Amino acid sequence: MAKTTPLPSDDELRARLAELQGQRAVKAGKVQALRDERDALLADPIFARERELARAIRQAVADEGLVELDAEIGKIARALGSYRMTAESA
Amino acid sequence: MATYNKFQAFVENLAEKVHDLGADSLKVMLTNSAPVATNALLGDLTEIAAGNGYTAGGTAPSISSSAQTTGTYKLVLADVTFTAAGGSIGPFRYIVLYNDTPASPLNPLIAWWDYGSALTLAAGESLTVDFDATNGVLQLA
Repeated sequence: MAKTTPLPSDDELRARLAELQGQRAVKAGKVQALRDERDALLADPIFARERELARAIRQAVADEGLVELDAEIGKIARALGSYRMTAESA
Repeated sequence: MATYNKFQAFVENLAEKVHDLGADSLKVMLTNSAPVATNALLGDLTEIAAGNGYTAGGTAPSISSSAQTTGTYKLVLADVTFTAAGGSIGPFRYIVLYNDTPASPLNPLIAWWDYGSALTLAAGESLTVDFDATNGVLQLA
């Protein structure tokens, strides 16, 4: 005959729940401390400057006419009978 | 038309802030060794020798557009032309797009295309990598 294990009482379950929630609070606190440290680092002005430069790069590509220049280079290479590979998009 | 092949790590890198496709230094490099989808970094591939018009690390394509329309993002790159000068370039068969900006992970891979056979550019010859100007290199929806 199979042995049966008695189900824990509600009080036992509540105690276990409280214990696990306590453990979770400690562990989550450690993770949050790392997130807080990272967030503080990202607030450094150097990162704001990085974002400014990223915007400036996008603008400079348009302002300098690089795309048009590349198109002209491709056109001349085609006229010279060069190799070509058409890259399919994803 | 050469098929777009995705490096698997790209999607995670994209989701975890590794790439800024609008401003990072994307590059197109050449290799004669077949990449596999599980390659993740430029260092996983064997690049062809530099010289005669080919620069180590490849060439940075101009980013024509990096923007979304009605919720679908599209990255459009201008065509890249490699021209051999003073000697040959290659042989190579695979064209690889990667991001030269991130330091960690270092130079993460994005995608590759197979030319179909090994190619050597003799002095004066060019290869134009013709990216799709309408659909872009990739889209995210």
